[in-house]
Amino acid sequence: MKFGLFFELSVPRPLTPAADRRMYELALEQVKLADELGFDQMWTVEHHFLEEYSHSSAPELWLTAVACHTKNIRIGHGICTLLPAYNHPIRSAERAAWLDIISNGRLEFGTGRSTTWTELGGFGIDPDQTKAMWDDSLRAIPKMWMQDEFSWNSEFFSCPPRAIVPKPMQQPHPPLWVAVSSPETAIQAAERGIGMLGVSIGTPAEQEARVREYRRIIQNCDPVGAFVNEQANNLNWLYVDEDRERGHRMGERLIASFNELATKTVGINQVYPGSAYNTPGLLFALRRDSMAGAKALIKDGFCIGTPDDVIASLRRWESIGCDGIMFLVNSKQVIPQDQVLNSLRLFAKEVMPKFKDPAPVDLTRPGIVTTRNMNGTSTKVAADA
Amino acid sequence: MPDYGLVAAEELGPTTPQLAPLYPALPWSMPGARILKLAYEVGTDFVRHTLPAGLARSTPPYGTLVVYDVPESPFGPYRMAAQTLACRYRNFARVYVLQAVVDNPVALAALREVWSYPAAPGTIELTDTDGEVRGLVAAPDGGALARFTLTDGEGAEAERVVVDGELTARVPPRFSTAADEPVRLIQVNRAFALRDPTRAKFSIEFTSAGDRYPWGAVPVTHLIIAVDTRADLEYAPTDHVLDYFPPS
Repeated sequence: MKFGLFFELSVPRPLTPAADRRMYELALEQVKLADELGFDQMWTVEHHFLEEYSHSSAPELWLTAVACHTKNIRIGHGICTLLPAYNHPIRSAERAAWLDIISNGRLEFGTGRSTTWTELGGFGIDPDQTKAMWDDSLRAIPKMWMQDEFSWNSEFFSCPPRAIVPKPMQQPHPPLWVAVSSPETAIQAAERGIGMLGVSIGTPAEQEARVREYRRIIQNCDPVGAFVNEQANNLNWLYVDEDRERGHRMGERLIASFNELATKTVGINQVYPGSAYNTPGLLFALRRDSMAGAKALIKDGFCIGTPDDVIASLRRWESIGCDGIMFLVNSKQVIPQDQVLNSLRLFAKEVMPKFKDPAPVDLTRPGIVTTRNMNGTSTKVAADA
Repeated sequence: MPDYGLVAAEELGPTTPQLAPLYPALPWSMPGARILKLAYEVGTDFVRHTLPAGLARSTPPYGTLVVYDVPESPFGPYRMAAQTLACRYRNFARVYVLQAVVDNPVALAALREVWSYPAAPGTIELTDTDGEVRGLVAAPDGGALARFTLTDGEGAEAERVVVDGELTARVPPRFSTAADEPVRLIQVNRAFALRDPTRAKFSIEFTSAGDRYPWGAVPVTHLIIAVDTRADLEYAPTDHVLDYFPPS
């Protein structure tokens, strides 16, 4: 099982440039420590206009800084929003290739579309079109990375034959993922042969069917890239403490802060009735959860408590077939930085060794071979790629 | 021993006069209603200076004009139009009712007395022609408060339409010299069964009609979308009387 950090880059009020700089320094210190401690991945969202909740509006710049300050940890777009009004697909491909070069082949290219009216309304995007826009860019970008001369002509963008440069360090291209917050998108990830980046924080019981369906469908996928990236990650909280009561107290503070920020956003489904977004969304889940009170914030599978508690939670995720867990370690700096860092150290010392499997699982199947990436992770590649 | 009256408190009607209350006790059933909900973004400063202390704004701030056309109710047919602001009470998405007009005096009294609805007398006209819906909300003197037009309607799924719960501020009468009763937030307990909704583009213009009808104060900055739906409504006693102030 792989472990990663997941950054929203939230900022407490008052919102000033100094507050953003402070957030940047704290987050960078966390990811540098995670790199030293042996965490496998770090991921960062792309959000726009979500004051306090996430100031990660230019994730490629933040990820570049991370790449320059770390050596081994995988650098994850979690996600790069594939909507042309946010990111023209050619610019996404160019920036990602550069990031892969700067990081010496450590990029994980997570993709997706926004789920808030706050963002889509801000860019004037029709919510009904976002899935098709995402799919169009997702199919074009690997070709930009692999073809000497690329051309495209679709409903959403066109390009006469051009050389898209540079090409990424990882060949044929970095692993592809999509943010998954609904069963429908998990299926679409599987159909396209890309990784499932589970970004809704749920329990193993809630996610089990989704992972199983993803595993089943991806066996007969039609990959959008040159290889199948069969990996299922899931988002979680992390606060580890030798003292369970203190750990829970800090964990509740973390979750409550995140929920409070998230509920201020305006989900598409809140204001825009359409079929493009098939789940009620984060807001509804948080609303439901918050009815149960603070003690009920910590649910089955959450990585909060003592090292033994966290090991038990991770065993649950392992049992449903999760390959990786991405941790949110703070929100709006409600947990003091020294305690966040201590939690990471304790996790690395007491928990991480229990999940390091020296023998990678053989995932080969007809037409697909397992290859090793530069950092030792494995991905499945079509034999004729 | 005094010869006390025999009527226990629970035998009283929902309001005075006791022998002929204006409206029956809850629940109120209102089948076959029509609801129009026009959603638009609103200026941040206005929302900040308008929401009660215990309510937080959304990002971005937005509001709705909600029009109810109710053909059948305990008060007879009535129409109501309300301006609301989206808000969050703790982690709950709600709307705060700013002001409303109602065209039926009994409905007006019931909504004000039971739900603290900030309603005033007024009129609401709705006209359906050539695929467009036109509306005019007006003060009793005819002064326009809201004009709107829905166009380009297309079918939507009822389960995709969200009508958030409404909150009103209950301010107790200040006639006592004793310690003031606290101001509370009341959640209107109204169940919806929606059917046959359409969503539509729309235009809207708010104007004020004197100091008592400051509808033009709402600064609309960006239009979102309108919904036109049929609905069966059921009002029940509220389960939620909420603190006015935020948690300490």
